[in-house]
Amino acid sequence: MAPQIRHRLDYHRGSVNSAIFDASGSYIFTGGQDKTIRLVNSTTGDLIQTYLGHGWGVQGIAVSKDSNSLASCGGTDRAVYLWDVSQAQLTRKLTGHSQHVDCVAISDNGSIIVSGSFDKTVRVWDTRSSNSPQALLQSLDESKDGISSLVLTQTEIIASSIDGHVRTYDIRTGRVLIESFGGQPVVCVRIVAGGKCLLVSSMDGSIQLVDRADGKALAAFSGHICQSYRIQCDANDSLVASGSEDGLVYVWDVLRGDESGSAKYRLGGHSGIVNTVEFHPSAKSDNSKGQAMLSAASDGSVIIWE
Amino acid sequence: MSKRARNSATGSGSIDDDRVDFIHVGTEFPPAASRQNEHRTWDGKPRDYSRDAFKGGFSAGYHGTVGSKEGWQPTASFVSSRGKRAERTQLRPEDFMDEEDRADFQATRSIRVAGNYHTDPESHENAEALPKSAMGGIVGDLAEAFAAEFNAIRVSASSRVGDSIMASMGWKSGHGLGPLTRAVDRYSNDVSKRLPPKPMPLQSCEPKTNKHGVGYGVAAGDLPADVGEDQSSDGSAALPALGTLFKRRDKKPTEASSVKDTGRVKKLRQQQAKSEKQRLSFGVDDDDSDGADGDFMATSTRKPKSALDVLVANTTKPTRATPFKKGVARGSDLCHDGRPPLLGFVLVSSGGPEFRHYEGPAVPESFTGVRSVSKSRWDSVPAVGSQSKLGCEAGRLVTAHDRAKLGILDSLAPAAQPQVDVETANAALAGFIPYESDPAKRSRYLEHLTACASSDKDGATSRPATLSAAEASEFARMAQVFKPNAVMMSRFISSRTTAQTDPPASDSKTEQGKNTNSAAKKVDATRTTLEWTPARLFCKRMNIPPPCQTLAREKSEKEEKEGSTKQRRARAADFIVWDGPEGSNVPAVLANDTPSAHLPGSTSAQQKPDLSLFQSIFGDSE
Repeated sequence: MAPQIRHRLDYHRGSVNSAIFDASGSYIFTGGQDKTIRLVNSTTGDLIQTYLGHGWGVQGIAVSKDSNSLASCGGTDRAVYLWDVSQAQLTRKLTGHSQHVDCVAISDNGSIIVSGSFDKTVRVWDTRSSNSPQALLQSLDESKDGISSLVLTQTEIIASSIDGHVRTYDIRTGRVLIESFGGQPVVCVRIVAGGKCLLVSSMDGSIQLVDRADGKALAAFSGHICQSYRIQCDANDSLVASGSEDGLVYVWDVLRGDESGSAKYRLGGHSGIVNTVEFHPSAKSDNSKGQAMLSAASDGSVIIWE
Repeated sequence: MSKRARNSATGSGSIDDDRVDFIHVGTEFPPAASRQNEHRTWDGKPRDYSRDAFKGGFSAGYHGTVGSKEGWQPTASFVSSRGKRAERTQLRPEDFMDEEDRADFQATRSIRVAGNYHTDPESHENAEALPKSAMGGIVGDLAEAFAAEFNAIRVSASSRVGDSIMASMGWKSGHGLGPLTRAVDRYSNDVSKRLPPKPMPLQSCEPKTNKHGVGYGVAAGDLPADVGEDQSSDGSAALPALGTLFKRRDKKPTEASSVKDTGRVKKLRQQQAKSEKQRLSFGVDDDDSDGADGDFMATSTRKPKSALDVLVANTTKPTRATPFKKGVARGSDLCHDGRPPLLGFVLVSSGGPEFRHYEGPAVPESFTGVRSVSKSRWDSVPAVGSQSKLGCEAGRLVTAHDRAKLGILDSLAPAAQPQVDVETANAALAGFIPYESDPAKRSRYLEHLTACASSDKDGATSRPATLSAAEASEFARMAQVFKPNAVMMSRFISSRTTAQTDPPASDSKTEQGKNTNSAAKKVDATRTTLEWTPARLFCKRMNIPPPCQTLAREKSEKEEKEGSTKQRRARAADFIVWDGPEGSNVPAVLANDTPSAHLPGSTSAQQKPDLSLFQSIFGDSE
């Protein structure tokens, strides 16, 4: 049965660039072009809190595992903001990038923030340092073009870049693994299946599911349109979902991804470019949430599906 | 308006219509008081001192702080110490004192005995007068009473501040603390008059700085002499160890030890106990007059029996005493020249080598330990005792010579050969076969692999040990290396593998035949691996041990920093010439850092320091 719209939220004015679940899945953080970040209860759809402080549109959000710290990156103001979620206060503003910051990730305990920017660098920030210049721990500049997406795991930083490569920086071994998928700019990278696979979405309209151990492509999904915008995708155990520039949310079955053009579901409800899709975090533990997901579009609407 | 206000204040008062508007609140300032300091400035300089630009500016000398009032020449009171710098003035403590200290100092010089030691400043003037009046005026027991009272006053007050505080609250020195008592004044028999409380002498609390126990100081002679042998070393319950402290007797091994000591250890323990006793009990011996170990605790301090001693006497069991007899043969207690050891020393019996050797736990026969083979310094030491059972392979490198000496079975040798397991052997046979230039070795390698692949352990041992251990291990390594890898196989095209990989690709393509336009082709990742160095703090925050390149980089950075400062110091040391007696002024640091070539004696004074020295001193710091 196709996922149904549970809530449709119109709190933002202007495009919603980023929408994420928190670790428990009961709250949603959305950030938009109207320079606000909003905290919404995912079960009831009520707006709980608004975070004001960005000078320009919000491009990316990440929340720590304990939901105490929220990291967000501004596009044009080139800064990474660290918020205290409960106090709705801006704790730190980390500057250093020379171009707009597109993606941000935060570690589980909130002590490390990784941000990727159009200036080709991935910067690692330390939130526990009191002195502002010392907050920047490292700047990784192996990429040849802007960074589109970041994932921070316990031991790695995975950065996808518009130069068509996905770079996995392994902290333990001190090695960076560079993978390229056909040369097309990569707009989104996600870790799925407990860290064993990588979901890579490129600008040629294809999403690859890649085995991390040897780099072999396990499945490919297409049908959505991703030609000019940074459309984000996500996957859980059984489904792969992606936004699209035609306003529909595309959902595929993981196992039958070879049958292209036939996405399992194409969900309408948005009237703009669907920027981002994210699955509910507890898909494994709670079967009823198997299809629960979140999508945000450029018309300002955020839809919670179930 | 102000004029009007003034007039209203000073003048009397015809009430003007204008004056009604003003309400006076507060008191006026005193008229002339504020004009006292008009001619004085806060820093003593003349008024209008500033020589700012509008007034002509400061000139270079004097007000521009160079020079003096007299001009460029210094004042007459200036004495040059240029010539006298080398002289050393012996400074005396008086040079560091100010007037106060000097007064004190001189006061201590002339010490005289004070008549009395009363330190109370209040009654100082009375202090000298007191004895005369006390003794002279009043006679008899009254005098005693008075004297007692006055003596109580002399118990020194601890702090004058406290006294003054109490005095301000109504206390008088010499009184005790508390409210006025209801005691009747003996002398006046006046009931209504209340006496102040009696002063209590201060209890002196001295901290216990010694280490002895409760009964210390009790003379040995006061102790019951019948504390004897079957007393445990712990003594009685009331006075632990008292008996051992003061009596010399043979100590039995303690009943508390449950483990049966072996003969030698037991003997050692006894000896140790005895020597300990000897140490503690030197000198205290009522029977021994001159005391072989010296007369430290003289037996002259005999106090009357205290309650403590009674307690001891009552609780200890009467046992036989073994008084010290001089003639008893104590061979081990004397040194080789017949004299006893020095005071405070104990003679230790020199045991044989087995005395120091701990035999170790009993190892069951079936135990096979796992220990990494590590090279130790004691390579050729033969393993004695239980260690030989472990086969000597673990923990020690035993050379062949030693092995023969020890008689270790050579059956261990072939089993130590690295075995190639069956799967690896099979796979290696399928893969690349090395040693193309050496056909003999190649054939041996193949034989070895086939033997390993086909047989189990029995076969291995039955096979003639033609391979040396080194060669066998080499073959095992080769088998591991050339065992074909799935990854490597996929990278390189070979006739066998294309058949395997083609079908799935073709299958997927036929499936997608319908929608070829929007077909998503699976694209395998092309991988490259580089190295990067995560920052140390980054690793720390992520709770990940930093990889070796992080540590290496950190180390090199630190060395660089240290290296540069060392270089600077070395260069500077060349040219700094030290005056004074040879070698005495050279700071130890420099002497350590720089090699001997840089010692001050070796440099010539005419050498002009080069630019690097100035740069290192005055240049930018890194």
